[in-house]
Amino acid sequence: MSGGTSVLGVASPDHHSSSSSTTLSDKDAEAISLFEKAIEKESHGSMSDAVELYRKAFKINEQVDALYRASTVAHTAHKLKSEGGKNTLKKVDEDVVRRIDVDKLIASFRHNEAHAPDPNNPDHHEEMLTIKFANLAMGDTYADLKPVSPLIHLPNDVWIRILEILLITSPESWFQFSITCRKHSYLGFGTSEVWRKLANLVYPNQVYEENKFFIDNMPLSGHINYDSLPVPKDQLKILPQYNDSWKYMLNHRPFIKFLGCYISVVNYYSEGGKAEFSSSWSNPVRTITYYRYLRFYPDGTCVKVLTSIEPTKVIPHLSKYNTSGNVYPTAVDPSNKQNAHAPVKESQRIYHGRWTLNIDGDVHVEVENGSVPYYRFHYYYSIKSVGGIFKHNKLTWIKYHAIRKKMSEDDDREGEISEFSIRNEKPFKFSRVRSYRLDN
Amino acid sequence: MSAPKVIVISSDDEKFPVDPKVAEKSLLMKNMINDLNPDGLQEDFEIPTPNVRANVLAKVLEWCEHHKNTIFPDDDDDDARKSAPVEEWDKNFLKVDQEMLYEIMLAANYLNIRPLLDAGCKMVAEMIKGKSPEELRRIFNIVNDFSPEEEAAIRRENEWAEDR
Repeated sequence: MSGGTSVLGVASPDHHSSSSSTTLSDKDAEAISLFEKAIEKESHGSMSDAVELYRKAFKINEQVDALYRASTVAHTAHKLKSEGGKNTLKKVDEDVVRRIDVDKLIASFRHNEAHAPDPNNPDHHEEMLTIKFANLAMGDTYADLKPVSPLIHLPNDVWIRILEILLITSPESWFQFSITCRKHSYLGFGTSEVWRKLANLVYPNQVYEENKFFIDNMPLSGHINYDSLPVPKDQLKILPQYNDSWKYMLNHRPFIKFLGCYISVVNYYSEGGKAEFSSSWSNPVRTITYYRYLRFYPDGTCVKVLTSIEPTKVIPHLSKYNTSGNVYPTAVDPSNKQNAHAPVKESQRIYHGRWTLNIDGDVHVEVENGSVPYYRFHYYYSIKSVGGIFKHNKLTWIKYHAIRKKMSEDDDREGEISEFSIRNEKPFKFSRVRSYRLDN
Repeated sequence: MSAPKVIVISSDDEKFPVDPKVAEKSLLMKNMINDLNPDGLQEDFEIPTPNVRANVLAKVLEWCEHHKNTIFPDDDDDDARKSAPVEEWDKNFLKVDQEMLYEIMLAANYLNIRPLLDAGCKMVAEMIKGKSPEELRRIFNIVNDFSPEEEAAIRRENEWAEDR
């Protein structure tokens, strides 16, 4: 179900009872607000909540979907355009887009200059038209061309320094600047310095299984010779395997991301029993949503949470430095002393684990102290890309099992493996979290 | 007789006498002083800077004077240094219009005064941070010259890399 949006297409204009008036009645505003909440819930996968909210919204106004489109969508579109510029929301010919060789295109911008908007060219700025008409009224035929900022003329190597600073401190801003015009896309996406910097921000922080194995099997007396690690820290040594291209490396060599967390949303349905004397033909169905959260650290540690609490509430508390061990700390009632020391609810507990990545892009997470004292839990995932576009931002399940720990001196069950089914599990997707640093 | 000075000459022929210590904040000038005076500075030494105007040179030398005793690390590829905020004095010093900031950065680049160039780069980075592409176009007064298809293709190819 894709929101109320599927219905929107068929809503005919004469049904828009209130879309003609610009101000909304309180009731309609409430309906829209409920509708928006429903969309939000649906996007998180909370189906039963979403359905409930949609129903309430439609009860208030049965054309709430059209109403929503008329008011909110137009407003959102305007906002997006004012942030993204003239090409935002423009219909593009997918075939043309697919046929573009982006590397070649960007390389062809090498000698492009950035241009100032021409007030006499209505394509350049919508608000420019007003300026032009103002000038016309004053008797001028042409408005003056204001030059681009002098900073634009800084030498390329200085701009690359600036872009490197942005890559380190605010990766989104690196992208936003580089998409402003052709020249800047060459600087930000077409120069190997930028991709080299990015590769060096990413790969040295990965914890490779091969290296861990190598170090664990070193003779105790021996020095660890970091130059002979199976996966070298010096990225230059790896570069030749990737056509000597840093960008190619980043596209094809999987890595774990640290400035955010991985979330897996699982929905399942459970059939309940009929109420006594119910004349219904079917049993009531309840959808249940739960989330798995994973956050990785470059020191090889990670935290995992399995809960029904939604991302916006969990993300701020998902840290290995959260000493409460509780991913959803509620305000403690000071009058209730017992409550202050109440154990963390199982469904809110942060578990600590360790992770490694192998050169094929498979991730192994091990949780020594999990929810069952006599088990050590092992999770195996594979790093994949979403839609071939969002590189390395998905973790798919390979397998999941627990191995029995030694619980007593003569524990003959030690080492027993219990396989768990991954049939109901869903892949994790990476979400960037602005407040996350490599180690906080 | 007082200690010999370095006399830095701007493109418009204005002369700025400074202590050698001040001039040596510029690696370019430092190398010139040392290469041409292997036995140390015996008398006043003139260095022309044919592409730096007097008002810019005055600013740059003011920075060098202020930092004449500051020791800057040599390491050029240090992420911690690149992500450190601009020092307060430098920040106020560089609160100038875009034209002046541009000229100071060009001069710092030409004279090879890396810490000053870095501070300038960080100031520009600060102007960019957190802004939408359209806001950036307004700040730098540039026009979006992509076709819709080009922009869509470039976004698709590169946007993912901001997540790491």
